[in-house]
Amino acid sequence: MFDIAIIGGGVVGANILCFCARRGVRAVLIEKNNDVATGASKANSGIIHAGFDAKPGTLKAKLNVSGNKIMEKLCSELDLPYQKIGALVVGNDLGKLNELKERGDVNGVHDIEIIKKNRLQELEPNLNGDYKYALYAKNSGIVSPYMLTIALCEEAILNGATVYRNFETKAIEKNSRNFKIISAQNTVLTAKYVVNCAGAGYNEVARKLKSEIYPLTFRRGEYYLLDSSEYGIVNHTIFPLPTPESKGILITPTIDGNVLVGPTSEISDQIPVTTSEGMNKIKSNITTMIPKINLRKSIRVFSGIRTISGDDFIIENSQKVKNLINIAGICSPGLSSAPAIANMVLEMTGFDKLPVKKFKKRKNIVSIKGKSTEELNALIKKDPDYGKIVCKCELVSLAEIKQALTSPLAAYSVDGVKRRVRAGMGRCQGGFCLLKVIETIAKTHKEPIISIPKENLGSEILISEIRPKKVVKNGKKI
Amino acid sequence: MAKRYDTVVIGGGPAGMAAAIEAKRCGAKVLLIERENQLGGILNQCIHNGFGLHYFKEELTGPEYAQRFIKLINWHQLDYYTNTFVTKINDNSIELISPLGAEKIYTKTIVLATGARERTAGAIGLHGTRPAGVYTAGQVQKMINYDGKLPCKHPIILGSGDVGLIMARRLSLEGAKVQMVLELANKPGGLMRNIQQCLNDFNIPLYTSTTVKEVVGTDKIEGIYAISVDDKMQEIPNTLKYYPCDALILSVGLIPETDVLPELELHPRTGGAIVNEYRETSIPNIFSCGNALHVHDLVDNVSKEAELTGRFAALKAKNQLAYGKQYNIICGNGISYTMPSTYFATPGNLEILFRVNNKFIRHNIVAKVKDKVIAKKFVLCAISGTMQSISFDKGNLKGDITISMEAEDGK
Amino acid sequence: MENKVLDTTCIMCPMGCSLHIEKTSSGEITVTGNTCERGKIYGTSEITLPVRMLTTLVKYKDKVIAVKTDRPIPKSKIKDAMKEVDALEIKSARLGQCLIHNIAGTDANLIVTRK
Repeated sequence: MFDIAIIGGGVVGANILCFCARRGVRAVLIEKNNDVATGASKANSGIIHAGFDAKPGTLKAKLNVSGNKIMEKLCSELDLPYQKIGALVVGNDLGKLNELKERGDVNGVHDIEIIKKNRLQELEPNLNGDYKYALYAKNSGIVSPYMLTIALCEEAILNGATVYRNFETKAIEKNSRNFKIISAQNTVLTAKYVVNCAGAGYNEVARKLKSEIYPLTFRRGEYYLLDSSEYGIVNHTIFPLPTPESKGILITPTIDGNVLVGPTSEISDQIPVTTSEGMNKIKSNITTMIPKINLRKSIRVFSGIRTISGDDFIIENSQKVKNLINIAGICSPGLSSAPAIANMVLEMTGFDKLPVKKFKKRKNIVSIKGKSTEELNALIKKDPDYGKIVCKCELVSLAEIKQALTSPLAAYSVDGVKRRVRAGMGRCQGGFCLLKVIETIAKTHKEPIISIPKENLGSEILISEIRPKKVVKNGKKI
Repeated sequence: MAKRYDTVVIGGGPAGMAAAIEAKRCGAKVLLIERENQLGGILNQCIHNGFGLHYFKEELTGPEYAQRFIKLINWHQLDYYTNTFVTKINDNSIELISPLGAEKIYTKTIVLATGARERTAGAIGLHGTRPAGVYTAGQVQKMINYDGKLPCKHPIILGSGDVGLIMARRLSLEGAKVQMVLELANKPGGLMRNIQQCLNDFNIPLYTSTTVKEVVGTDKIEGIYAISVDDKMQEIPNTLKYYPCDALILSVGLIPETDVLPELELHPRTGGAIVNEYRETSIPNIFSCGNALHVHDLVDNVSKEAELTGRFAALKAKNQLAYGKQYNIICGNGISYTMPSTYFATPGNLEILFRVNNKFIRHNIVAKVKDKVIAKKFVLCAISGTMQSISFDKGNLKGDITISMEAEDGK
Repeated sequence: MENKVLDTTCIMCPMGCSLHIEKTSSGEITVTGNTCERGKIYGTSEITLPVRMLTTLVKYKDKVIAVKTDRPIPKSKIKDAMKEVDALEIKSARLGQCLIHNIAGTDANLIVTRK
């Protein structure tokens, strides 16, 4: 019996779970896939926006700005890296830039100013010299969106919360006191409150709840991820002037030392794909902004699906079903707003009246990257597996991979390991280490190697033995 | 007390082993470093034969070829570390890490023999979804040849280079049905011997001027959209064709692995380090050989090149390497790249390796300085997939050398 | 016995000559399209008795070891040879050790190439 059940294992659901657990609320997160952060939360720009872009008076504006204020401290509590690298919106239309600045002022964004060409060139030497002006927002930051999701869940678990993965909601019943959520495997959970933050799956879940259904649009955003050798080509997150549809195709350093270029914004269905049209659009846009850019240094292209509902977030108490909170259409600035959305849910449920207890903190898996010889020897002495390198491109040791498999929210898939410790995210994209990672997952979880999936159940990589075991019948092998 | 060596060889595959053995023979104090738990490198997963015909005058499988060198390593009592990874290369030292600890080792010269990595799906602009079932040929080779597991039952292979062809045969022998091999270029990339013995023998069709546009399938691959291309490798519209499959295996090229030393100046064609005649890179005292330097097709040539490199690295460690005035080696008619790209005007033998950019039948390989022919060698048949060579005594040679292919009758 | 015809590509050198080989009912063989003697030998062998080396894997506990035939075997015997490899269960494996004598009834033995 839970106080609150959160349906949807993205960064919003994870944040709600974490903040509930900090106040001793009995909370459960339900995720239909094999891991959290497998939807939009793993495939976005990772930017914590300053908040000048959202229309004043909207939830987007309010929650972005307050989320941004919370994020640095939150990451520190979660032992996650966060960098306030600042953002620039570059252009020659001073009127439009001033509009953005005013919007920022109204929204309560601090440290934004219009700068001119000279200053702009100093900040970004590789930027096309034709740009005369820019809006410079110092409070914009970068984070790993999927690590944030995982870290929030881990802290929540350490503080008494529960996370169910591979929990596909089959049916939801409600009586006067609580909800009964039934999975496809007939696991039953009961909770007083339910939050539907199932992202692209919001309406499917809403149907089971018999609650509000909203018209949702899906837009695909494609990205190039550039090799770490390109790191430093830009120092800030750089946007073009925004359009009514989107913030535009940006370029940003990432928290892991790569460079991200994108996203596009095309109407799509729910399945993320990359297309040559999308990648060409990014190429032509970004070469105007950063003429020096070498897109051949791309190590990966990927895409994510944004779920959009009109002009604003939907975060409301359901009018049709009591004790249900509807959260839908969390597109950009959803990541930036996540902590503020969680606080809003605490208010809506009254859980904000509970005091924050002394909560246990989660620790990030220690990486060997950048460590001195002395530090490495200390790690290896504690665990010799720290000296066995599995992923040579990203310098990931066997110890780190094993920890990804035994942490509070352990990985059970190749991609789950990849998200937690970066094995397979480098130049060779798992060319050398894939088999070793699969073997380690199988060994650590004591599962047959043929059952280890890439991501979800049904994506198993090794499918059969080449020399299957012979069945012995009447002493004869058949 | 930090250990000191004359020469450290990074990589214990065929290149590294040969370089280390030769360096030791030349009197250097040598350390060989290998990141896997055994020596042999890529040879350990190449269980097919075709290795050693030239070097050992015997046809061996990959592991057997490796074993010959491992025996020599032990016979020479060469110091080597396995399960050890080099994390940093400094001016006169390297830093490494293993389950026994992290340490710094001082050395005078270094040989980079770190092999090559495979080109990835991301690098060739493969679009569509990201399901399980898209692998590189090397990944599949490990799955089958190390773990005895199949990742598929009816795959499609993209790329008709030798690695892809070898895997087509391996998959067929071990119980999979390879539906087809697709090749972007208008002719197959691998050796004719492999087309015959890996495709024709198993009735696997090869479709040239075709590539994969898109992958379909959410969690697991369901199929691919293939598309035809013209002679300039541009997509021909309206030629999309869907083929169901349970794996797409990519064999789309190898790239020299040089990331242990990002400051290296790289050759624009080979992707490996630019080296002088001694296989010394743009960073003094750092040498390179094997696939890390340029992608080879015959391991026998790797061993030969690596011996040379090991010898020069050992000589340099003893300050016995003679430098003279440096001249260029220029690609003339029909030449794609040469190895090395420069030579020193010092006496001795010079062997120039190179690849041609076309198929040449009944031609002479001609080495000229200005208009004077320095060396000439007749070849019945030269193709881009097979590395060529020409060697001669430099004597008092000076001036840039141009290598070209000239027709038998002099045209 | 009828005339036998085979069109194939020679593998003896990078030239890859297109060979046309005919074998009469009396056993006379003509090879055309070859540029050298090696091509003639290859063509003759391919129409008479095409042979191939077999390299494969054998299960050994929960791992696999690499094996090969110590000489080429008739192409037509590869399937049968693989059946014997598939059924093989071994207790030990030394480099060079012979696991199957006269595999698929040929004069070739199956030996260990990698542990």
